[in-house]
Amino acid sequence: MRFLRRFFIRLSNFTAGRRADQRLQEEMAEHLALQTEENLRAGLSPAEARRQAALKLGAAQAIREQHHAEQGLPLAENFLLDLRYAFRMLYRSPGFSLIAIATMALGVGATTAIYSVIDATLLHPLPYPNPSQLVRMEANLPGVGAHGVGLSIPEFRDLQNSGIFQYVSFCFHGSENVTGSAQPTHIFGATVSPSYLAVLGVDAALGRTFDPHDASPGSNGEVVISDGLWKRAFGADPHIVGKSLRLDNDSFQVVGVMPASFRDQSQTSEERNTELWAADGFSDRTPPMRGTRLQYETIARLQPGLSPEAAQVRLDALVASLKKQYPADYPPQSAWTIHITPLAETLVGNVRQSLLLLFGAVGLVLLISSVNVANLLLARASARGREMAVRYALGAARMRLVRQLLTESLLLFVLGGITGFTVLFCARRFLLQFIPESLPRLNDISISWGVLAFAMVVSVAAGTIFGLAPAWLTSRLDLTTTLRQEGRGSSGSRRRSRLRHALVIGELALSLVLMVAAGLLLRSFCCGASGTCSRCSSASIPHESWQSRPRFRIPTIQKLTFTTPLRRNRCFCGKPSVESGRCRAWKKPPSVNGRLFPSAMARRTSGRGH
Amino acid sequence: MKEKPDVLQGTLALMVLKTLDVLGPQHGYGIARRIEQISGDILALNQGTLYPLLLKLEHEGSIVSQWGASENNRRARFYRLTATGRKQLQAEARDWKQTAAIIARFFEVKAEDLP
Repeated sequence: MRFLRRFFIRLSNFTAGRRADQRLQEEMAEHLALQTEENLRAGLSPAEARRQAALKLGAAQAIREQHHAEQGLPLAENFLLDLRYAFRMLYRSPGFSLIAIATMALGVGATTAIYSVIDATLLHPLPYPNPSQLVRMEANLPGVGAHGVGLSIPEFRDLQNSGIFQYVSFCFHGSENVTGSAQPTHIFGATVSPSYLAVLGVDAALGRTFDPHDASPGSNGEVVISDGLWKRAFGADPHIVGKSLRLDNDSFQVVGVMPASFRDQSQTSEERNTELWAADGFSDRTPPMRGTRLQYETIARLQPGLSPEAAQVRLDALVASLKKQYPADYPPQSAWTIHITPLAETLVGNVRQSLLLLFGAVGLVLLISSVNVANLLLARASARGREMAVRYALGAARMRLVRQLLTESLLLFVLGGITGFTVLFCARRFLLQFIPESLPRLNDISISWGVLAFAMVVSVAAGTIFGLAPAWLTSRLDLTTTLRQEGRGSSGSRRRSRLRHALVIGELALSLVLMVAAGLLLRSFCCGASGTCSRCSSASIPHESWQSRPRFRIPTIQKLTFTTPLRRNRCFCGKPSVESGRCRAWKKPPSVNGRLFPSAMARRTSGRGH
Repeated sequence: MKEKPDVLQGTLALMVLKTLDVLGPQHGYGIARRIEQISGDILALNQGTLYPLLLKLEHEGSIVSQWGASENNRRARFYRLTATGRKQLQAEARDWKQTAAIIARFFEVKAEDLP
């Protein structure tokens, strides 16, 4: 308490520039006068009385300094002085300063750039409330070597009623043609269970999302649209809720608009930019069978306080009891299991290693540039030997010299960091083009305050670590030799050159490691991207139309092929064809053994009207 | 000649506070004089070091100061103990007595006293 009070008074004195010198002068004069009178009364001669009084008071200058230090904050005061001096030194050798700052800008800029990617992907992978509760579920049949076989309707209901999850949902991403708006557009959409948006835990900005407990069969004709689609296709119409739009000629009713910040969860950037969610329930046309599995993504939100590991244990118990209950549907040789993975892990799992490796590589770049600057500082140290010697001779303490030199190097490093950050900030759009689109959460990479803080911390830390050794060695000198030899060949120089050699050797070693790492990175990023694409194009045709193929013979396209097996790569290589990747998959009946899950276009046969 | 012991950091502050407690408001010279008298010239005190200490105590809120007239009617800075300072003095005096008592007991104990 007392310490704090003292600190704040000193701080305010320091910032306001209040000084107490005048007061001390007066007090000391009065003190001397009183003591002299006393001495005179004791019978000393006037001169001797004054002399004795002064002796008793002590060294006036030292007292004045102590008093001054108590009045303000000497550390801060010295720091400001050092800083001013450092700026002057910077200005006096612009070449040196520019090189050092540019080197550090490179190191800090590269590290910060990768950090911003890591910040968006690894540190904040899911922009939803309580992201640790979100999990993805995968059913496997390891006994017959099948993975990701999907869940059947009864299994889905079992999971929902198990008490392990708040909500269980499924989703299927695809693309659609929207008509009924100002202009027909082709968008990425998703067919989801009504509980899907409740699982993600995001509410609509306008209108409402689906009722998570809606169990009506088939599509209920409700869609929720994204903020982007609302603005683009509907001119941000405030009365959009309740209006209808057409998806590939089927009519749907808009019930809500999602907030602008909402992004769908997915591994690909296309699916993350989903702009429309259509609610869908299970068909009631055929009795649900356990063995009939639907190939959808299943994501769920765990009960609060339940860890994924604990949930997996409970789920295993559920699976075991189901197997006992329905031995005909789960033959022991298939070894049916359901596996839970945290959603965040499934989204970033495949890039984590590459990103960390990349981060390590730019860390090495930072290290090399720091070592370079430290080397420059050391080289300059010998030129400043005489300056240091003079300061030392005039009474500067060694710690004081180290502090001053450290301030200078810190200033260099921090200026470098700021430059690096500024360049990164200005070039962020340009740099983002180079990031592969497969990176999750590509759109959320931003140069934020957190990234700025990271850049500053990195530069201060590097400045302290790599400024300390040169400062220590520069301030370590043999006074007489240095002064006599006019600043040349001081005894510290051998030690300094030894350190310089060590730094150069270290730098070379680091460069070698960096080169190997960069080579490995290049290999892992670039292999698989071989081969060139002769011609690619994509077309989106409503479902009914593509069944009658001949109508789409266009003379400029030599051959039109619709390939039903899902192709992951964006374009076919080798022979001219029309790409039919994910958008066709949307139309492809997505069930394993023939049972139709009622997606949007099957609504008329399985919907509520029936 | 034996050297006079230096004043320990902290003890000087205690002496200043006690002096102000006993004598009431005093100027720097008065405090220095009093410490010298009480300690009987055993302590070597550079009287000037009092002034930074007084400023520190003032910053800590234990004492306050204001200008006044000295015995020979010149301007002098007078220091006065505050309520906080009095509490601090009591607490520190208690601690000091305790420490002194413990040390004293250590010196009194002889080998044959031990069980």
